[in-house]
Amino acid sequence: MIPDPGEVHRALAEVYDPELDAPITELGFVNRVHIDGNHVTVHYTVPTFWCAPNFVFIMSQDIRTEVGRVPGVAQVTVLVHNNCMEKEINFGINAGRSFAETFPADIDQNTDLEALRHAFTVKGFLARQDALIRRMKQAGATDVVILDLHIGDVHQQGDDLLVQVSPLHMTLHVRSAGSDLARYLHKRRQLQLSIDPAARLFTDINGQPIAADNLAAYLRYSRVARLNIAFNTSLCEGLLRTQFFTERQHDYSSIGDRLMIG
Amino acid sequence: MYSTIDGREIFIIDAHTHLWDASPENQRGRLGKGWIDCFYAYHKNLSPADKVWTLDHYQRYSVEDMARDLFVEGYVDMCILQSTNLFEFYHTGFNPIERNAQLKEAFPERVILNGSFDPRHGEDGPLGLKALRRAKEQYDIKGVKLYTAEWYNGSRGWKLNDPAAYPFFEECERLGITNIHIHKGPTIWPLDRDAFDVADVDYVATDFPGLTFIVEHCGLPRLEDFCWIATQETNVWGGLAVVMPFIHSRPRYFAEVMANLLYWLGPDKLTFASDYALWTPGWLIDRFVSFELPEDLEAEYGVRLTMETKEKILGLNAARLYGIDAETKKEQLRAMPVILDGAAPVAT
Repeated sequence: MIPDPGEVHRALAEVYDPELDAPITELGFVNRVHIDGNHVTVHYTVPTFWCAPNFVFIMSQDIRTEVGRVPGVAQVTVLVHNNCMEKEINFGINAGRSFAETFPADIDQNTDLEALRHAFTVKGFLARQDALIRRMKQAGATDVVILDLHIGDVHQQGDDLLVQVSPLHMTLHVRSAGSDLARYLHKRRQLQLSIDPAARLFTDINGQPIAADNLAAYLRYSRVARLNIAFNTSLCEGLLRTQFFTERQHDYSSIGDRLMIG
Repeated sequence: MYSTIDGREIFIIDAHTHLWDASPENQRGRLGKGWIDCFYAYHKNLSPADKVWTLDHYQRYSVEDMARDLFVEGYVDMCILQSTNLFEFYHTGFNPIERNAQLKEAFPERVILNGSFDPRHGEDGPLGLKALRRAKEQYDIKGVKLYTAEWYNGSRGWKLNDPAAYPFFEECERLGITNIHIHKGPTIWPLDRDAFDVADVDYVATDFPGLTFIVEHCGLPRLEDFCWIATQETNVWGGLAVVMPFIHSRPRYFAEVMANLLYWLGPDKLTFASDYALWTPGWLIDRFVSFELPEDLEAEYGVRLTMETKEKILGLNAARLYGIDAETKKEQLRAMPVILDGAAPVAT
């Protein structure tokens, strides 16, 4: 069986730039996917020559894993372009080597890519959570109401949310927050935090409730984590466009904009 | 000097500038080329279209070009040159202190020249302890620029709290080199660790209370971690290089970053910088002087970007760090206008 191109694309959409918390397909990194029988070759370009090789390695590895899961795929070749370490990374990844095996000279350094990945998943979690909480606050929800919500209290209607505020028997209408909810729940799933309707909607990274008198301090940090991701995303997209999509070089729109909730 | 419509004269220090040579003759293979191409992408992407240079000019510009862009057309009264070596990428380095010194020699009253060190060079290396003492003697440096992600002899970086770095900070204290500018920002990564990590600043800031640590680029892309540290440590400042040009391309992002920095650090620990020649200062200053924080951010963060705050950021804060009396300096410079007649030496 020959792999379906749509399936391959969906698999690539599961590959994230760990730092930007966005799929490489949305970021415009993927240049070309070539399907030759059961062999899929993916070419992608990172925004700068100096993009951190450890992050690049994570992306190449994830491409290999995700595309390798598509039915009919027997072999995956991943080729990254525009990076100072592209030769080493391409060789290591396609030989099935780990980061430490690929860069043995650096073995004494921090080669624990999973710890690095986790640190950025946490930042992504905080940013997405902050976006959703802001939407709810803008719709008039108080801290106490927000922190009491359970996942089952929130219902999506188009791109809006209807939130049951049980003690008050009220329904709160939160505009344009549907995708924020989906993105937040997606991250909870990644972190293996409960998405059960009976589970609390907002918890800290360890699944523990956030105390109301702590919320302001908690959000001050999340807010800047959210801004940081948006800033980096817009910067990376801009650098990519300037070098490789010059017709869009003065297009300053960014997928990071979805985190910019005034 | 920037004069506002209502007659206010703002003293300007561009706190992060370079006189670099990234010409093809100086590039050591693909690393030197990759470096400057990456810089050029930043320049092209974030500058207004009419401020974009050719790549050729961007790779190498003269002392006179720099003086014109800063002192004649850029409102800049004084600039701080931050030496960046990169000897593994460029035969004679990118902008080592010797090259930067050419601007200092041409405009001694307008230029603050900073050195650098690298603990991996030990006592005798080109960026070792002896070289640091020599730079103090020769140029009376009051600051250094540290590039912890520099490649050296197979190593791709060091941390500020490496034991080998401590004798250097002790020497800085002893010599009165009190301003430690640290590159914590985009464009270079050591392979093996999260080079953006700002946690090492926390250690040295605590251990060396007599030194001021100016985190250039505000730790972007690790703004949240930087803000956290800078709030705890009174001797940690933020340098606005790379943050500034967002004022043109993404003013809302710029506003949010400024609101955060004012909230976490306050108005007294931030310094303006163009990062020349990444960007030129003239347009950045024009935009910044007239920039206003949106009301929703003022309300949410409880901060204001008043003209007084702008004056601090544009010059008075850096003047304080370097012991410069702004009023005296204004008077002095008024008597010595910069006239470019081709007499200034050309960078070699």
